[in-house]
Amino acid sequence: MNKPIVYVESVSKSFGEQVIFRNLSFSIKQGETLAVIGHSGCGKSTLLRVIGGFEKADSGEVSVNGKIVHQPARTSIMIFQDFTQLFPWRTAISNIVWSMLAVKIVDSKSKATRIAEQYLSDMEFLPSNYNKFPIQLSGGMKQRVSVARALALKPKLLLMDEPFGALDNLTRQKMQIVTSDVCKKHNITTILVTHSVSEAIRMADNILVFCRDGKIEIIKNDKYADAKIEKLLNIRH
Amino acid sequence: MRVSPKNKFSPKTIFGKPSTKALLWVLLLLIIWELAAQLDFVPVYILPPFSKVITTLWYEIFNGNLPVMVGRSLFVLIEALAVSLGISIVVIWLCRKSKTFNSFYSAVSAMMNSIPSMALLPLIIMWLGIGDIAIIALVTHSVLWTFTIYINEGINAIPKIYREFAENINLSTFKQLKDVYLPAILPNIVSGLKIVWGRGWRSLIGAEIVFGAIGAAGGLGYFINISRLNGNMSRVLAGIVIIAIIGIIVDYGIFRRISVRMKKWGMKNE
Repeated sequence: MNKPIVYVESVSKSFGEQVIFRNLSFSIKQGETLAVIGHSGCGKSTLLRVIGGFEKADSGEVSVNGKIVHQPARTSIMIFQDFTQLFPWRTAISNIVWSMLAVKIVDSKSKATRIAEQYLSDMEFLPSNYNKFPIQLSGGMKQRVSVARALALKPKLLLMDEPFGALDNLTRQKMQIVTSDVCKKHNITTILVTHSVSEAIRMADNILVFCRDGKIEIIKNDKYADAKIEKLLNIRH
Repeated sequence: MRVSPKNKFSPKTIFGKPSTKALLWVLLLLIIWELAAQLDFVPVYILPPFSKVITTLWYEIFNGNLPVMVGRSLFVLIEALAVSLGISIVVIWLCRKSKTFNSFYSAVSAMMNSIPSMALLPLIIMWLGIGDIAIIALVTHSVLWTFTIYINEGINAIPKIYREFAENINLSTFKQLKDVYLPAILPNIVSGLKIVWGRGWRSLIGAEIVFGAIGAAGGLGYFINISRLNGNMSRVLAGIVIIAIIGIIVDYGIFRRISVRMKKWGMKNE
């Protein structure tokens, strides 16, 4: 059985008077996906940024792969909703190859290219688009490259902040399936921030819900999850 | 329905291009110039025919006179641009490190940017004489303030997402600067260089003309001024034509090429 790889222990965060979360604790096992869901402005992205080391917690600690998180590190790679995260002066494949060479995961360009091609193919990204610049790609294609780039950097934890939020419905569903399959294939632990209940149910093993009343609950993604989330988020009332 | 492909050699396509139109207008002006001089509408000592200017230009190029002068001017300009770039890097670094320095530099650059370099000429002559150092100081003044404003704006406009990605993958400071920040501010660097190149080039030629008039020798400005003193109008015009040609080469050969490449990336310079 897989051991937990992410520990969030008694973490609190507030902005001035506004408490975002207090004494939050949970763990995520290797290869699992945790979806974080809640209403706009409830602190989903702040939680993700604290786990990624982009924001400091007021108290408590986060550890990933046995190391306490003080600042952003390559063990936890973040994917944003914004389509501009790829460097526009590099082609799709070059964005991945450059990243791998820059962090010295591989020592030769040809090896990096082979690995990049493998991840792009996993993400069902057509070879005819490998040498296109980001401006020539659609939103869905850009996100495929962003996920492939993140995976090529061999993270222990993938942090996704509403990565498919700006995509059309069809592309979004396709991306959810492809990304889930690739993360499972490479046994990557994932935290997915989303405001879509169906996305959370399609992709996650467990779901962390920022409830309407300010509480935070983690539920298992079983056949009752849909109803539980609706109740916790007070959607029907 | 079959649409016939557009013929790229048709007169409509060729003459519809902005570059062809610009060339045709220049050609028309040159023909008017040539006719005005040949038909004695204007005295030859005021406006020699264009053909004579071109003959003089060839002669001055092949006797080595003009290349030496152009080379000297360009060398001084590159020296001044390098000095400005060096100072800009230090100043921008200090501005990023210290808010006090940033506010001081903002006030100084706003004040100095509005002073034309020619207004500082008497002061510079008194302080530094009439040598190359004085010209470099003058050109640096006309370049530095604008350049740092452009670079600073570029740095402020770098998307947060690039910075966070660089931080996320723990890139070294050098790699962040070289591989992320520098390409990200390229549109501002190109826009800044395009502006300061023109400003620097004008100040340089102006300074060489003034310095040439008071005894310093060398440079394209000096070539034009000495030709004026000798009453050789076709040499004066040959000097002016070469200034225009260099301007076109730099604009089309360097800046437009970089702009085209940046457009391909979806990055634009204003």
